[in-house]
Amino acid sequence: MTMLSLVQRWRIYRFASPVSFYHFTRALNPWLWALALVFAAAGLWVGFVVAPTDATQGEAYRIIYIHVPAAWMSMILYVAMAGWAVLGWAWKVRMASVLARAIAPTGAMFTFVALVTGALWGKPTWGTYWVWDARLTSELILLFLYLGYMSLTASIEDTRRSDHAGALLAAVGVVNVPIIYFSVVWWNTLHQGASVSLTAAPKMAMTMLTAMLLMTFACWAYAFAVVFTRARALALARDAGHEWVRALRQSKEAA
Amino acid sequence: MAEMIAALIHLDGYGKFVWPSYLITVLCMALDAWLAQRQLNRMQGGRQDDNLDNW
Repeated sequence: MTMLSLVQRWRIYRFASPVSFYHFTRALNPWLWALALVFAAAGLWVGFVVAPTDATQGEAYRIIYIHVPAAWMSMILYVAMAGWAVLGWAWKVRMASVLARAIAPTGAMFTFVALVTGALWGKPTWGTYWVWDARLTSELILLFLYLGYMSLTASIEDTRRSDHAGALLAAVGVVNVPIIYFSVVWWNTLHQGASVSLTAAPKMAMTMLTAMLLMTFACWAYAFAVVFTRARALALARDAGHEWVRALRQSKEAA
Repeated sequence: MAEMIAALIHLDGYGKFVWPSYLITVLCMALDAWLAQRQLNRMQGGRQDDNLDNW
């Protein structure tokens, strides 16, 4: 089954319409929040109660359960943001540009969390909160790229022009993502290499890996929920004069 | 449970870096979610002063 037939069969294209997207994500969001809470509770339970203390790092290693998922999310969300931004730019898909803008603050938040939790992990293990090594520096550049994208799109009043400028910046910035990922391979860094890889057996205990993956799922569900909330707000703003928005506001006032 | 809490809030000299990590994470996530929800509430209410520039 080709991608095109899948799209046609599931009518995925209908979510390109702001009205369909708005109502679908409104129904979906409570489930996403519930999933995030369940995964986070399970991840924290396994990570703090089931997983043992690390032989060399003591308790400090438990920062891994939020640091690594946050770092993964920071990179994945940037790629998603750039992808939607370019899609909106190239094919004039309105909801694509909206999604790109909705992802940016959450991506920046995860990047900030990865940097701060990394610093708090660095102090007890490396003896310092910060070093200018390739992994840390490229992750900091990612935060600046997110902030740059948000500032640029906010500074241009015309929506279409601001979408285009943002898409260009986001697309150029994508080059930083593989640099972050492979920085520990390409350069001699203080930051450790990857503990988890798609092509090799994990270098950590199964209970620790389970907790980390559960927390990653929680971050995914959280990110979807918040991005959809922000995207709904942006869709309402862009369609402010449309009939469906007027009807929605009237029904809300009546309630 | 007491051991877990002790491990969380300190106590071997390393754990004291753990709980601030989670506290900062929860605060950042709560702020992000709150801002998104506030933006949605304002747009649903038809607030014209809240435009795309307000994240």
